[in-house]
Amino acid sequence: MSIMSHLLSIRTSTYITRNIFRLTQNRLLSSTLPSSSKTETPANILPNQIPSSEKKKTKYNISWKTVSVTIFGAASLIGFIYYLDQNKAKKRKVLQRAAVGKMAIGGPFSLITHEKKPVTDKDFHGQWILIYFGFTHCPDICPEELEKLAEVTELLHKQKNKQNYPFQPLFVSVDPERDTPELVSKYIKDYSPHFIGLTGTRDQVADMCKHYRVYFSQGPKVGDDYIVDHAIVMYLINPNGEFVDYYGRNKNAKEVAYAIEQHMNAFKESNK
Amino acid sequence: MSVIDKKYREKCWSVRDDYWKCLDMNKEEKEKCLQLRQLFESSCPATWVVHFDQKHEYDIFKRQLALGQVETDKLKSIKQQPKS
Repeated sequence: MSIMSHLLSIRTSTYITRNIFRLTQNRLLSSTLPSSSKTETPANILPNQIPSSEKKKTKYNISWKTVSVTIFGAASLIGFIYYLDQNKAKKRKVLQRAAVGKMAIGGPFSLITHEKKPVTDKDFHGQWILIYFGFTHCPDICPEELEKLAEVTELLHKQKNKQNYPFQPLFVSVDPERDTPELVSKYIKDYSPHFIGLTGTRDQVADMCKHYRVYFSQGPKVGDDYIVDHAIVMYLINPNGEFVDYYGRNKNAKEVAYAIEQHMNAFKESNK
Repeated sequence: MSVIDKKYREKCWSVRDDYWKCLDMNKEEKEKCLQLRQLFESSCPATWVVHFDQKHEYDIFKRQLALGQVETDKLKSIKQQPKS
């Protein structure tokens, strides 16, 4: 609203100054003209009350032409200021989004894929990665979240040609004792062919979870079986390897995909 | 077939849902749903049965809380406070 009051004040002040200018001009002109009639025009008469015989001689007049020029001038000024304001707001939004990534989450990791290929975080630079931490013996939550991750992948891959960097979903096992690469491979193929599953030694997994602030803990054993209690979260990492955003159970696939697209656009803008 | 297979998981979940529906219809009287309970216990691993039982209890508790039927200790202490 401050913009509007600012603009209104500019417009009214422009209008007022122009008319004061014209008034003073008319007063000067009318005082230098010979008085053709016996009744002299009073000193403080308004310009449009000058007798018609003298109208032609006054240079400045408030006609429809001058009013329309004023309005056009004011409108173009308003338009220009609006454009500048929008530009500023856009730049502010880009900065805000970039600032979320400054949280101290993320860092190096060293694991092996479900195809037994050793990888580190650096292998994923140049890609947008969305990491979900889970385990294959998970009763209900991991399957749900992995379905969601698959849907997010589908949605984002539809817009592939608009994206500078590819999107790669990752599944990281928090149950390295049981989740071998073969098991992970079998597990993730049911969700999406695009998933890369990561596992490793207990130390490797614990190290990554420490950097990513992911809690995980082996639950009570029933026979040989157990459930791993763990944080339910997806982390978004940008092509520079920086943590950008996180998504919990409260966001559905469409919301997550939309949020990621916003980050992709902001990243594009800030890296032009 | 193990939990790694999608079909196994889906079978376990559908049996679990049938069991819960039975409990719902019979006001949580477990005696009336014994057959479904047995099917449930044989279709899912033991840890999952424990997990789902806990989830079911929690869901009931949440429902009761929403309906105002649960008097927790905190609520009791609030009610006992003198009106200011």
